[in-house]
Amino acid sequence: MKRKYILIRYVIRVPLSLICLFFFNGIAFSQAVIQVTGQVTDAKGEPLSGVNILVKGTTDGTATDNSGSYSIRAKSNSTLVFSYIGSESTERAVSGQSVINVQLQAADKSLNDVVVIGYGTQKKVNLIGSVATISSRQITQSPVSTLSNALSGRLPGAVIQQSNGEPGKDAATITIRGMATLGNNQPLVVIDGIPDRDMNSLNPNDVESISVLKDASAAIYGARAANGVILVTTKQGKEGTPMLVNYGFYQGFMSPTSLPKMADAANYSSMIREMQTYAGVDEANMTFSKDDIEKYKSGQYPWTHPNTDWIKSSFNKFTPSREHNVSVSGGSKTVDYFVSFGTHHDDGIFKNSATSFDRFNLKATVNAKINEYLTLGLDINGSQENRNYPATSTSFNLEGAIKSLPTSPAYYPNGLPGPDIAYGQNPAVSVTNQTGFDDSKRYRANNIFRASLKIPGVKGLVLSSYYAYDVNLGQEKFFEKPWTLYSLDVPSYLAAGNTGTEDGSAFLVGSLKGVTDPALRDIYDDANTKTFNIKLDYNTTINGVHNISAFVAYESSESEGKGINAFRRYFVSDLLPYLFAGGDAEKDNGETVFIDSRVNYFGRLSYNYKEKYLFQFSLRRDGSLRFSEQSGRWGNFPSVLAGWRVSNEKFWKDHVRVIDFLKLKASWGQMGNDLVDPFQYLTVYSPGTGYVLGTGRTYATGLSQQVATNPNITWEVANVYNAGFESSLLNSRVTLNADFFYQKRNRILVHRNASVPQFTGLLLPDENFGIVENRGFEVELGYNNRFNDLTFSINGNLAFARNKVIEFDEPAKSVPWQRLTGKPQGSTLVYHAIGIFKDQAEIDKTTHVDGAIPGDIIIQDYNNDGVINTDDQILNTKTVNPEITYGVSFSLGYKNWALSGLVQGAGSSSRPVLVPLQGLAGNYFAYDAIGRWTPENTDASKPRAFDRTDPYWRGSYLTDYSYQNCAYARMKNLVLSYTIPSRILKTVLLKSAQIYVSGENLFLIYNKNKILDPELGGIVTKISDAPYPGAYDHTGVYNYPIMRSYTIGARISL
Amino acid sequence: MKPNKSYLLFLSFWLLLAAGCSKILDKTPQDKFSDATVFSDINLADRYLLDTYNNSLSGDFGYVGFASLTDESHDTHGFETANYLQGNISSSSTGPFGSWINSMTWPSMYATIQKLNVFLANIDKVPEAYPAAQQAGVKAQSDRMKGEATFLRAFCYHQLARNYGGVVIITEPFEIGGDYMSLKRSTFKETIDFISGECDNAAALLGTKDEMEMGRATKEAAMALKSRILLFAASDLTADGTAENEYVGYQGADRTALWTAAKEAAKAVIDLGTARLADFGAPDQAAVAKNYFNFFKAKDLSDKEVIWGKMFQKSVGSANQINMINGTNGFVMYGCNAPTGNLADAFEMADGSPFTDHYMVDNNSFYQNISSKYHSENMYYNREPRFYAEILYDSAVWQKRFPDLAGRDPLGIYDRRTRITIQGGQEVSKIYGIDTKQGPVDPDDGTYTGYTFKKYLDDAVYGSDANNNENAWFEFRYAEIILNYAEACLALNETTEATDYINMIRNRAGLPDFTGDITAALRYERRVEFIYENVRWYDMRRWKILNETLADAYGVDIVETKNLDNSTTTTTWRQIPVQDRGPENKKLYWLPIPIDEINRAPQLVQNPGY
Repeated sequence: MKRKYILIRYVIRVPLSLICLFFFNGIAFSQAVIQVTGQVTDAKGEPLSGVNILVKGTTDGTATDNSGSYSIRAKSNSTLVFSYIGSESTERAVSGQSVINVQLQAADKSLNDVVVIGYGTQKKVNLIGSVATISSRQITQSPVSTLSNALSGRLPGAVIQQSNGEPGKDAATITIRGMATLGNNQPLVVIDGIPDRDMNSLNPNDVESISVLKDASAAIYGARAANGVILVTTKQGKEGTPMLVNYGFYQGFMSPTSLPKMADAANYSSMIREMQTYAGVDEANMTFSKDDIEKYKSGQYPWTHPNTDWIKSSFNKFTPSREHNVSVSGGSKTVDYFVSFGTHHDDGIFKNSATSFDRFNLKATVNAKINEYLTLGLDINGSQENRNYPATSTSFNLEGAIKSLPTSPAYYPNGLPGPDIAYGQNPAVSVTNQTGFDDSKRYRANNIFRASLKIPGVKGLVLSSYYAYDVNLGQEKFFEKPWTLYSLDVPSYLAAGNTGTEDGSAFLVGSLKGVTDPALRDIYDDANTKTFNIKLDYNTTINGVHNISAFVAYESSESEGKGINAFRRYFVSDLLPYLFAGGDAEKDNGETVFIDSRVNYFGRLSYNYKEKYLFQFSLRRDGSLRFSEQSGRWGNFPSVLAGWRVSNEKFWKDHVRVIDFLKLKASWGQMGNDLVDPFQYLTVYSPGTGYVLGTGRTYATGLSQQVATNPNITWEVANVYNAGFESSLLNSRVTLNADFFYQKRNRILVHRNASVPQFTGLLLPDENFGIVENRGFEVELGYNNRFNDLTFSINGNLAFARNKVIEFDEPAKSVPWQRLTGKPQGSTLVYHAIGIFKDQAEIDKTTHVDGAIPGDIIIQDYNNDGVINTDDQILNTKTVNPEITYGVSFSLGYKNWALSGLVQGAGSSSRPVLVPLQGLAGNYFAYDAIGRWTPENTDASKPRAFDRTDPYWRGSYLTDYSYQNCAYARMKNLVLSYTIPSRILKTVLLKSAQIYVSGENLFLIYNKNKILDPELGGIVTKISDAPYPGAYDHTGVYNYPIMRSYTIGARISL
Repeated sequence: MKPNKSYLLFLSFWLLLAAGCSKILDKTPQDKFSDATVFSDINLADRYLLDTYNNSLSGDFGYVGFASLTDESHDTHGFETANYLQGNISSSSTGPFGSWINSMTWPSMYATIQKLNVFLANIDKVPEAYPAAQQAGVKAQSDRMKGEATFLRAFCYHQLARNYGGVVIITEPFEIGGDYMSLKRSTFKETIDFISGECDNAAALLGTKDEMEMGRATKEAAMALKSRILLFAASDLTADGTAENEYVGYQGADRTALWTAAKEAAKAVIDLGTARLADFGAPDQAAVAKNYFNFFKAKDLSDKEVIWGKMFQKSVGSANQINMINGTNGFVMYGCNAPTGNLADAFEMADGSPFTDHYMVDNNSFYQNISSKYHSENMYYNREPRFYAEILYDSAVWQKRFPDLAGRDPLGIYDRRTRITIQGGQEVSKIYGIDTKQGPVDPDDGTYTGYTFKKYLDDAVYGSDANNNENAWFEFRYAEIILNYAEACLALNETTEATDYINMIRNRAGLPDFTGDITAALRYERRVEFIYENVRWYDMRRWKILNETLADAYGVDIVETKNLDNSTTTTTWRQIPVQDRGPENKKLYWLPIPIDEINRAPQLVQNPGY
């Protein structure tokens, strides 16, 4: 029956179409149908996607793609209507033109532009919070694998730095408005309404927009809002849009932005001799003879006296990266959909690398209007991440590349790998899978079921609910095996009459390095989070002037997870890396578990009068299992925001012509931060290191209290104030926005390390007693214009945030200039280096550390008491977290060509970068080698040759000499694209096509760090993780370098 | 669909999901035990105690051994020991203490004391949690555990007292917000009296070694601890009347009473009769050398000579990595603490005569044989057995080389000599030994002194698995009690008794009775017998001999020259400087209380010299 009907339909339809075609073709003699193409941009000249284009008076229509391009067939005398939410519809007569580029003016200055603000959206013009946004087009402009790296420089007030460039581990660290707490400063990330999802596992192409709530507008997230909230919204289908298929791909080539420069063999061996001379080492124990140094210098003896650049030997110049992405979206009156699939691949930069990263993303969103009242929706986000590494850690290999001695060969001239410095550390080999592998897979299934119900009979009343079930599974296989390195039997080689220039292949002896036998650790973990939300919304307008929008909601979330690991060694063969193939001795296993849960009640009321006077109130009541029911489990978090659209006033419209939009705004909110270990209110004992007892030497795990009990623990409270304005001038050609903020964080969770004596033996818990003030501003200035076919825009933003510790744990007796109170948190105590001792005479007349010799660093006797002791340390207030961040983005368009770019930078920050393993245990930085003090060069700027932490200025007396200023500005991103003219596309049935070349992290415009990329090492989100004098593991020296990438790609739509 | 049907659909949708969401916040941690559980279950309480065992007794297997703060060894890598040895430490900059040596210092011992105080405050609750019928049995167990905790706490205090003098004595658990500003240092006397009394308390609750599970505190251990601390207290440093204040010594002490107490404490262990000296096969010196070395490879504490110590298991718990730490660079080990030439030359000859009677160092620093009895030019021949058991010296047979060097060194010797070949009057080749700083492997870890510790190394531990030793650490050996007793007797002028006990140790080591000065003989035995057992640092301080022991450290350079022109081979042993030490710095007799601690609690009196 049905089939028959279809058949009939076709039978009727096809001839009809043919008739029509014939008919129109007939008319075409007078009114030709032509292909019209073009690009639609917004007031700022940025391409708009999803703009509906209709041939006036017909139902023929299309929409613009991601690049804002469209293509439509229309009669040459017809008129095209361009319509887009938030913009005024624009009509253009075709008049025979085949290219029509349109710039849509915001409908009464983007009157209807909306911004996601958490549990809802708000018209941008009515927004009174401080919210930074970034669009999907800006996100996809950066060819990066992780979303966080696409945000740098584009979100004023967000401090974003990449600390590591390793494939699969290169996500940037984000803080918002600097450091406001001594505890954990990590912002809350909410994806499609679900807190704590991982931003970096998303496909950046699936992201519709990102909003960052920086002030009281975040208060709707209550106990987790104090550090700011990042809202990520992924793409959905749009009601009433034709199906659009987008495909994009790129191929990239990555290379390190900068790598440390190390001393060469001649320089290194000379320094070791110098160092040993200063230490009084007898010639018999000298590592290098004078003759050796000459041989290294000559370069004539590659077998015995090589000169190795280890970084060149273990790093490739380029490594590939690529991405494919396809999406299908559209919507009818009742059903809309967005389906996408994407893959991303990055390779490691090492030669014969075992490192790679792959991510696969699948997303499907469907919303269905069941009837006039009820809408149901389903959103499935699946991802798989594969991370492959060698069995050696990256820091092991980077350490190897940096510390390996230039006097030792990476490869002998015959191609066999040279010896290790120790422990098999020859990075040229240990970066490969000859060492085994560390391969992991992570699967995520993030699912949301939605329903919303318009309550029948009450206009504007909507009940909606969603339930999210997120599953996160991981598996890791860590298989280590011995690898082979070769060393030259020098005595036999020389005894055979060789000198170092002749082939020594016959004297190379191979031996196994690393583990003695293959060993395997298998790790499986799984976690899930259930989030349930129900919300009642009410929207109404009274008398056409009082706009009210309100909701109340309940939300709960529960997480649980566990992990299991198992270990075997003594594998007979490395061919089967599975547990069953391992030996029985020393097998081991373990399990971990965690739980978390939260319950929240909240509501918000927005009111405005004629969109002129704007108000918003919110209140949230949160409960968290981190804290005890008796004290601190529940907290209330209110906020008040107010704004005034001055430009809507009659007097303004009448008198102020230049400024066409001006809004003043102010807000206050109270928010919490609960990022601490749970259950500190309970006295609990965890399993830990145990003891061996009994004649059979049986090991039993011990139990110990990790921290002392603090029954009163609760969350931190932030009082956040914000005032600012938004404006646009000269017909929206210029925009100028500014925000000023002040935050006082009370009840900060910190340890009383500084004041509680160690003889108490207490392992101090977090206590709510710290107070920190944080203040600063953000300014944005933009300009856009067009001259005929040339469009351009430039937008700059600058943010500054400085914090000050108000209440902190200080010792009973403290040195005034060392008190952290009043200074930025994270400030570290260091000695001030004021030069280099020229000679003994200078030492004798200067206050010095006992044991100082010429060439040592002069430490300032800060309090002039004639002794150098801890009292002479001063606070270095430039921390690893920059106080200043800025970005300048620009775009230029000319006909089919577009060029856009981003400059991004940070200032007022420093970090210690000199690592301890230098001297006999590792090569020197060229930074230390060149210009060093020697008896011949006493007017030196760098100290004498040294060993490890032997001299006082590398041991207990860490000076600011070891710090590098980390201010920088970099050409972050540059894209040149070309939109293929429609006359070409016509022949291949494409709606639009664009090809582009782009570059990421292109070059450093300004850089004060003489040793490393200034971002390497990253910002820290928790002060206890900050580098302190003597701590070397956060300095970034052994981090995988940050990558510069060049890509070529294309986007097509059909 | 009708509107009310939509309602229904919607409500059922979320009611279904909301079901079971009621008790979301009422949860307890799943990976931890609560207070109530731990102290109501004797097995869990015991696990708590195990953690404190581990923290109380770390042994001295760290990167920087206390040996390298004495004339026993030299720290190859410059891990801040020079700051101590040259007197450059202060309360601000404590050199190796705190950075490289953490285990026996102020914060770590007090952290353990707090844990033990928590245990002692709660342990009596445990039996009450059991049914009446079981209470007696559990009480017997908990009382014994109370004895163990009492001993461990006394042990922690004894570490503090020996390092810092009189310290703050805390016997109750602290809580957050407790009053710590009123707590002051106890005097040295009070501290010693406290430790000594606690040893008695512990001994009363503990069984003998036969009765206790191996590795746990025993009656003997508590008594040995008392012997050790009373000997320390009676020594010159704290009892000769010159102590600068009451925190670092007795003021007007009755020296005889102190020595008598020390003597009696040692005698009590001897009289208990449960411990005895191991038999190494004396007088066969070769057997002694072998057995003495093997004695320190023991994986358990079963030997009657061992009173108390710590056992290790591969890959679990706290690791023993002594092969990795002290082993030789030729095997890619770290060579951290290297015996000095000063120590090597202190070993007597096989007949008990001093080395210096047979070898002298000439003006060009070469060792010359001047002996009328031993005519070998190689000074490593004819030494006392413990030399061969404790020290790796040039050409001593050690382990089989890794394949890449097996061809060059098929025997597997400790290869420290430089081999020079001369032909036609010209040096034609110069090859450095495998285990030297210029050798083919890991130059950074080659020792400067020319020696490596053999004691506590395990020759069965090989290759990159060498970070996994299993040999036990011996904290108290019966030999120490014997020499404690001898020393106290000697101080009380009971020379005959002292002589007998000193010779007991010498004879056991295959040496004849001592001749000459008895004090020198006693000090020689303590020096040579307890190498690398963390005894010397305390001895040199309590005897007040820093002048002598902080003399510059030296090593040896050995060159074998083969002259092809006249077919002769000559070998030279040359003394070379390794580290400038001293001059004596009086403040080094005590450690400073870290400045940060004084700043937190200004009522603490700093030690003299800081």
